[in-house]
Amino acid sequence: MFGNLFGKTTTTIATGGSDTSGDAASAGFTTFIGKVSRANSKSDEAHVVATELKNLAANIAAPNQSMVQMRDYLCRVAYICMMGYEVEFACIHAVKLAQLGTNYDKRIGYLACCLLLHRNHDLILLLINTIQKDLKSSNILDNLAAMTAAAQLVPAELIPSLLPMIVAKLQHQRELVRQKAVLCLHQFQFLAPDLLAHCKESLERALLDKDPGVMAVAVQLVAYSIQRNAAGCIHLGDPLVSVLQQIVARKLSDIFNYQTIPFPWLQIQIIKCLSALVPHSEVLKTKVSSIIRVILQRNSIKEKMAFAILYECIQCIVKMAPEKDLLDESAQHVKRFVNSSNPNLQYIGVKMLVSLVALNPAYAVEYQDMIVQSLEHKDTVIHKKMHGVLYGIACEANVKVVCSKLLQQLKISSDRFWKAELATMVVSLVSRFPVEPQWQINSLFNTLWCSSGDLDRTMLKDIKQLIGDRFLSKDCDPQCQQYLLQKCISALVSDKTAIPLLQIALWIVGSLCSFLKNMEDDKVLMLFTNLLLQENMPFSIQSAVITCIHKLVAMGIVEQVSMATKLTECLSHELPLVIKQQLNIIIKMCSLKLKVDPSDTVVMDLTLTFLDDLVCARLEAGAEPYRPSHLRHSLPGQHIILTSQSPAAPSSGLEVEEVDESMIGDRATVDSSSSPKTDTERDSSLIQPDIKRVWGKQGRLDASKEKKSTPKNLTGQKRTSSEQDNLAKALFGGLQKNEKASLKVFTGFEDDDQYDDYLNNFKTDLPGPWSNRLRSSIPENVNVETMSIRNTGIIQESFNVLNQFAMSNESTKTPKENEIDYLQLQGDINLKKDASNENNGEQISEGSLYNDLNNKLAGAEVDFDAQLSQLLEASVTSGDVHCLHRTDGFFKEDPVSKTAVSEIALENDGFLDVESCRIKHSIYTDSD
Amino acid sequence: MMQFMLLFSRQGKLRLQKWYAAHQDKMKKKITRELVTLVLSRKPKMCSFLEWKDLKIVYKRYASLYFCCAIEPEDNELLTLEVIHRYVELLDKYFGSVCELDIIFNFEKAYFMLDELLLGGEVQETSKKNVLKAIAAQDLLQELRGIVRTSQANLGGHFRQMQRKLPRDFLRTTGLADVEAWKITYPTHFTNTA
Repeated sequence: MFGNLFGKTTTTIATGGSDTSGDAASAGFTTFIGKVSRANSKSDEAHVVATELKNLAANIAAPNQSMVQMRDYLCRVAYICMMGYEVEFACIHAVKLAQLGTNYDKRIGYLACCLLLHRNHDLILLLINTIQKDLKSSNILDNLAAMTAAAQLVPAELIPSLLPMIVAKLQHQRELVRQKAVLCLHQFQFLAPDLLAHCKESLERALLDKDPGVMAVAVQLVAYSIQRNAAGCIHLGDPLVSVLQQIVARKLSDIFNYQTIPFPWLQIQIIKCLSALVPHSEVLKTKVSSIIRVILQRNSIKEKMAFAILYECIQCIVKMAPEKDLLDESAQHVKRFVNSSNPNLQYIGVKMLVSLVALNPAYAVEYQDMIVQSLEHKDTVIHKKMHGVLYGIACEANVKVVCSKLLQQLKISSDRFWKAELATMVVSLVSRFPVEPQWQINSLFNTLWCSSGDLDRTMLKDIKQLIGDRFLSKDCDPQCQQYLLQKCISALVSDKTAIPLLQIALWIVGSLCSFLKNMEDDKVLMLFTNLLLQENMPFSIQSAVITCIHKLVAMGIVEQVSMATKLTECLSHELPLVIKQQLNIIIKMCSLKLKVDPSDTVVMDLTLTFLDDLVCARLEAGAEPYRPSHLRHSLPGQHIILTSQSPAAPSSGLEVEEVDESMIGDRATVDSSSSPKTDTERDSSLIQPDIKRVWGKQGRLDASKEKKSTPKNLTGQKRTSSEQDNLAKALFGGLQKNEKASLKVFTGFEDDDQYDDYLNNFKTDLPGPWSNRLRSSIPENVNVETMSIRNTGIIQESFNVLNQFAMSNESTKTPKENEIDYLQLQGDINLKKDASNENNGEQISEGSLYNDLNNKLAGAEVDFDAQLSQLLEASVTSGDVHCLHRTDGFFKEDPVSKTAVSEIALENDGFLDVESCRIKHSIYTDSD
Repeated sequence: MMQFMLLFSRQGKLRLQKWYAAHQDKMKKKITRELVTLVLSRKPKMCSFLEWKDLKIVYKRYASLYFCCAIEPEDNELLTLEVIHRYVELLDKYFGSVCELDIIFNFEKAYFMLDELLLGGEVQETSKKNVLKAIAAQDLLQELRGIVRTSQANLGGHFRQMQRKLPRDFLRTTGLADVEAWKITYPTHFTNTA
């Protein structure tokens, strides 16, 4: 077949191909094909096609075209479509031909529809009518054509309009129709599995059809259900086995023989189904293994098809993990495959060897020489598969050699998928065989060097986890850690390092930064600032660098003055505002000489009980109740205040000097102005005899004064009267007493004033027991919606206050630690929230809160970003994606961006990269 | 399940394409381009299977035409090779020693044949006889008209023979005994010519 091709091709094309063309190929079509094949260049061809399309468009739209002409035009259009040109204009005519034509014309119309349209095309809706009409027709050819088209074109949402008619066709007297109906339903099943639940019985009846052809396609249908839920399909095992027995015993009509083998397609399909069912039933297993034995015996290895069956049998055997003798027998067959001279069989042989070796590496022993040879095999397909065998035989003794072979491939290969596969193998080898730590580190780093750009996130996460478990915990060998650090630093220094590796390296350096003490400060700083200032560095890396620098400062690894000067230099470069803001914070930390001594076990004052009294005192003194942000907008007068307070956002990035001086101050302003009052207003309304304000409009007020005032204040509170106590109890006592009461207070706060009080005190006063209160009082299970709305607000506020305190050196904690507190709180709440079902109302009100926050913060871009990043960071860490969406406003409520965001969060270890989120999101939506 | 099937010439010209999994047109073009180059660069003695992205490619060359199928990882490669072979057998039987040109000029017939063999990427009918029976039934009505209109058409194989046969003979030979079911829709002039 195809033997006589050459002569024919040249002559026919030269003469316009008029002699071979059948009835369907009109003169116009043949001339067109002649022209196209004579075209020498792509542009020539495009020209020919454009002319043809122009003619076609004119002709096809002309009235009174006969069906035969229409058929011819559509054939030409379909051909042009195959050549890759735009033919949208003809779609409607294809639908029309399917509708108006009869018999052959109709068939061509349907074919053109299948070729030109797709499931989500608008015109499918028009076609549905035609399909329905043809299904009703008494002409079986119309039925068949309609079902063929339905299987290919009908989208999931239109299935119900056809389903009853097609199910009815299962009872049709002609086997051709029944067969098509079964296959059509099979396609529907892919699209909407649940729609077919009610006709399951009639489908399974098709399995007992008297016509073997119908039965064969019914097996496919069953195979799909088995694939989805094998355990629920156990009852199908016996009928399938009996069918298989009949086939093997050649009881079916010999028209289904192929190369003397009875019904091979059905055999393979059934074996596939059975191998999926076997793990769920022991009884079935014995039956299947006996029938497989029979098949193996009877299979004459003369036909190609026999190999296909053999291959399927061995796959089934491997899946069954049966008795040794069956495995041994299949190993014998595999040997025949592997030693075959036919490259296809050889490939299949190696593939089966991979799965055999996974069960028992001993099977590979006799192929030793062959494996070594095949590693240099000229056909890459086979030699790739051989690496799978290598992976399978790896043990502690040879793992190094195997790994080096795999890494070698990794280095020279350029195929992304293959590289990812190799990397997976190396990583799993390293995790399975923890020999020499240095070798492990080397292998992992080499993998990352060669392929980190091609690995997916889960893979990178696995690698990170592996490194974290093996080398970053406290009781690890310091020498290894040192070695790891060296590797990382060399990765950081090199300018060829891929981004994912850089990220991992930065993460490791951050965790091991205590070792950096031995390095000169200058060098350490250079390491990070170089990365930070490198051009085209993605935001994720910059933020990772910032995290590292944070750690360096907090641990006191580098001298803080030199750090500050170096970072101030960085500020003069072009950097994202969020990064600059972070740098400013670090510089401030340096100047305040904040430090966490790693040798001290810091006991965090998570309870902050010392503030209880203070709040009561403030309330007692008649402090203005706090108004939560979501209520603030409802007061018309305050809009003005808000707007006057927050000038229009700077259009472009702020000048560096501006940022430098005013950033912290600005932020504080906004933080403290979460209450609607301006500072002056508050001064007038709040009676605060003892406390000096820490934060003013111009930034932090003098810290030394503040220092004095606080103890005084605290001592004052010790003398709180019983009256105050009562008030406190009334307000918050319930928080500790029992859940029910705490709920009332916490979620409802009875009325808003109380809640406002609570927040206001919390805000204006010292960070106190409130975080503890929050923590202890989060109700276990009920009424979570309201709670979380408010809690997020409370927590947000608390975080601000805590941070301010850290800045003013008032608290023993660094901002970092506060952040941790905050995150923990947030996490707690989210845990609770998860426990209850998510509820729309909750999301909306929460969203409004965040939107509100946004509006408020929009006054100053810097603050906005910083605040945003905190929020995002917190919400990502705690998995609160809704909050993330709301906060940013860029993310629509859709699963895609959700995954995008959470993936990014994973990647950045909680430090959310706002920019990359946005980019990522836009990419995701674009690609959709 | 088969994801798609491509037929292309040695020069890399696409002759037939059937997509069972949904792709955008742009993507289809890209995949076709990539695969054509990949397959054409393979040497004759190399194996017919390729691991490409997350799919497996099974290809086979018949004369100047390459048949190239993409299947899922758990599918049986050897079986797919036989599906291709079966398709070629069918084409051969139908056109009578088929050639590339038959597929170009009668590509709609090639599609019909493929639709009978595979539907939605699953093998539908593996019996050669049954497929041809189904195709013949569809052809019949066209042929009847063809006989009325012209008798000088020079066609190949089965197709050619069929044109010369009287419909009733044809029905008997293809085993479609119960004509009644679709007799109604025959063109009226059918009885006159017969």
